[in-house]
Amino acid sequence: MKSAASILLLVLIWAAVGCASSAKPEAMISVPVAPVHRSASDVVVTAIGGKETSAMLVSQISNADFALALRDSFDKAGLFKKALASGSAHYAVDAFIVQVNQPMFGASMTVSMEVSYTLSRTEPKEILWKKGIASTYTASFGEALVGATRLRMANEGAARKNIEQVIQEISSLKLD
Amino acid sequence: MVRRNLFLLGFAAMLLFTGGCSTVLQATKVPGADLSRLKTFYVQKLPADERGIEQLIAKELIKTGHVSSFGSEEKPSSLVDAIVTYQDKWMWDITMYMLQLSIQIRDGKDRTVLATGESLRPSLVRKSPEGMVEEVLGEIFKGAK
Repeated sequence: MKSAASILLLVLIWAAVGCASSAKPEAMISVPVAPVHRSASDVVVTAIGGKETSAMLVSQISNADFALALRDSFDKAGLFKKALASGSAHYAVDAFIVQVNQPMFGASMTVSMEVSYTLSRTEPKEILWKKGIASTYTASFGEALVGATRLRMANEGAARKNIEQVIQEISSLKLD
Repeated sequence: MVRRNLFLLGFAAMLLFTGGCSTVLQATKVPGADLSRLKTFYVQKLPADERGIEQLIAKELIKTGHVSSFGSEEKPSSLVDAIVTYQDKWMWDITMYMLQLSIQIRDGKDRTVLATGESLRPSLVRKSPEGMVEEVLGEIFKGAK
């Protein structure tokens, strides 16, 4: 009986500490408080450089999830007519997740993130704007008791802040 | 009692080791980036690095036929084709070892990222810092020449 309880305890500890889950797209969506310039054109949004999460390792941000969060954020902000995953559009935004710097331990977990963005016109192909954007977010102990969850929340917060900045940058370009 | 403790010990070891052998080695290149044109490099020292990883990176670049310098400044004294930045993470398990190394290759003029690479090796499959540098740069430049 005691053995079963001990094993259960070990499993619970492992689940609490070791099982990582990927950053959720809906938690990375950024809705700007200030009004943005609205382009009358569509945009195709893609992301590379992200990582899939292995339950045995730590929480990561995948390409698909980050691209989805970018598209949903653009749509919610009204930055373009419509943000698409693929197909033909007047503009293209390519996000390269350069690095996601994560702590290994800590009561408060701070994640710093760098994303290199390229905005292009598709016809004729021309790069209009290129910039690396850095962001950080600290998930405090009070936000989540479980370390893996806290790290995921820090990832999501850093991504949200990054998207918030790219929306402001693209808005300032006053695209047609 | 002894059997129970042995079983628990074995179970704990299994849990520990399940995650202990997972390694990651990957590199991503910006579509269209031509790394073969990069001949001269400057490795920018990470302020927190006290182990001289910037020198290991520069040494490996020279070993693979490039021209490379290193320093603490953000910009090199003369124009280079690429600026290299990195982040290293260390862990303790009997001795200190490099758990993770991430390297970014940036354009020498505007610092936009051309490629990134990363290696993650837990204690059981650890490599020397030189080995980590070699495998990350190898993965980044794979097929570039």
